[in-house]
Amino acid sequence: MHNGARRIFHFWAGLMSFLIGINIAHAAPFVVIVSKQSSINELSADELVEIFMDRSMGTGKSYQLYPIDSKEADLKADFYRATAKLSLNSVHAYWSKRVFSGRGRPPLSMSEVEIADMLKTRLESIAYVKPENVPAYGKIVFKGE
Amino acid sequence: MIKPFIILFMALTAALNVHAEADTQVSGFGTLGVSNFSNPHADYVYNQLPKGPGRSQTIDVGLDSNLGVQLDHAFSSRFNATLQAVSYHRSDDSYSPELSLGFVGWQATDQLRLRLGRLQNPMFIYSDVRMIHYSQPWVRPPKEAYGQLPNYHQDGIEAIWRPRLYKTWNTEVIVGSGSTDFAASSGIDVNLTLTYLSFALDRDEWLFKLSRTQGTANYRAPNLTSAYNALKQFNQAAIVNDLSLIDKAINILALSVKYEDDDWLILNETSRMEYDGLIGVRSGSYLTLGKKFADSMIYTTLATRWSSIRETSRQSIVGLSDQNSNTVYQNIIIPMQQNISNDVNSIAVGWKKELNETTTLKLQTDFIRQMGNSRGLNANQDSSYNYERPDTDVLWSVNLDKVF
Repeated sequence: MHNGARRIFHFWAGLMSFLIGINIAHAAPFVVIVSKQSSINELSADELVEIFMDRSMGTGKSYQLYPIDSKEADLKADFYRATAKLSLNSVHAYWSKRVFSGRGRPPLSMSEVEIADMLKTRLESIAYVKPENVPAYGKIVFKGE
Repeated sequence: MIKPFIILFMALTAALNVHAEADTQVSGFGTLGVSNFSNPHADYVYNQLPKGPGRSQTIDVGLDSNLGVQLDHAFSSRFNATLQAVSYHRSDDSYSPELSLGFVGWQATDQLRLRLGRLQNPMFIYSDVRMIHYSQPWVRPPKEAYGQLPNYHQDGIEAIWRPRLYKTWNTEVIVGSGSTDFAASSGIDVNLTLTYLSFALDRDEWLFKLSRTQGTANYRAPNLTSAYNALKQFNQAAIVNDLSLIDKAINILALSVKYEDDDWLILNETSRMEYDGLIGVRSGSYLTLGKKFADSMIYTTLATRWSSIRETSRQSIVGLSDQNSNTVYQNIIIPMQQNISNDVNSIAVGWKKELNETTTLKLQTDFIRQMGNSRGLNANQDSSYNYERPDTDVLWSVNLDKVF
């Protein structure tokens, strides 16, 4: 193989490897929590999509809840993958379109410590956390893997 | 025109002072784009740009670059207001900021929302976020279809209804009405009064949208004045009125279909515009096919724009001999129609990379071929521009898109 052709081959192979490189990540379990004082005991994945993405999934239910996103990107990705079947990039694209057409805002993002505080002060809060980090004021309404 | 928005802004500012504890959020978007166009005899422009890459044969930064800031304020769970200002390359060759969105909204019921102020037409999938390149799969929407909607925004009222018509489908109906005045490129002043209806269904990977926009348009084009005057000299007042672009009906129909999952993006939008007067009927369509790989996507877009000449124009010539009638038709009317015809085909290939959660890098190459004797979608053609046998032009674009 000529040097020129070899360089082109290496460049092309490198580009393809870069493009096709797939992040191999395992989904971690998470739980969705509400305040212990909430009357809600269980929610479905479709109901969570309606609450967190302001989309109608045909559940016919209407909850006055205050959704909170996690600041942890991996946890957030696992939550939206399990419930909405969307990648984090798709979720960001969805919200950028909603925000800049003036049609809605995404949930605020908080750390698990801040989420624990919110559950105490704002009873309609709903958030997702790692199973080992469920705060004392939290009640699990969905388990995801 | 700007006065209502000054009032709106002052009201919003006052409200912010009164309700400092209420929910206020600031966000923004921007694109740094560079582009180069192979044709040294014309400029590639987008919508109302006065000039673009091409004749200067230099790297252009004005085609896609912009910077926008948005302020959202919730007065209560049912009332909110939004202001969005964007700086971009405008038709007067300035980058002065423009109010692109400014409204007060009222959530009348769980399913119905009303908005009053400056709004964006939702006719296409991305027409209400045309400035936000981050939200789009390409460096910019294919103008063969999106260029059919001449305005970015209008001042008026809009109702968004999200009924639960079908069990598992998201349904959204948007009805709006408003007007806008703007200066287009080449010194054309445009006034539009439009009413629109958009019906969208989406579920999982699928989105279907059908939209209709209709109203009245006024295009005051100085470069057509001499042709109109020539027709008047032949006592052809009827045909001048027939071809006039003042106070004429405009109707636009658009159909959109989108499929997107983690591996593929398939996107087709087709529009048909009927505009009484000289322009007649224009149609535009594109098909985008994208393959995703983790955080990147390669894509290709085939796009076309075609137009139909109105045959009634010739029948409107009255009181002349056949020879003179033919002279008027061949030497005045046909050149006028060619002057505004912009039939074109293009193929684009591109690569989109998500650099992080809020930043994308896009590289796109467009191969553009205008149809013979059409003006294409370029601008500022010089005297050596070959209209009869145009070459295939190549447009290179690199965009860095960001939201914050």
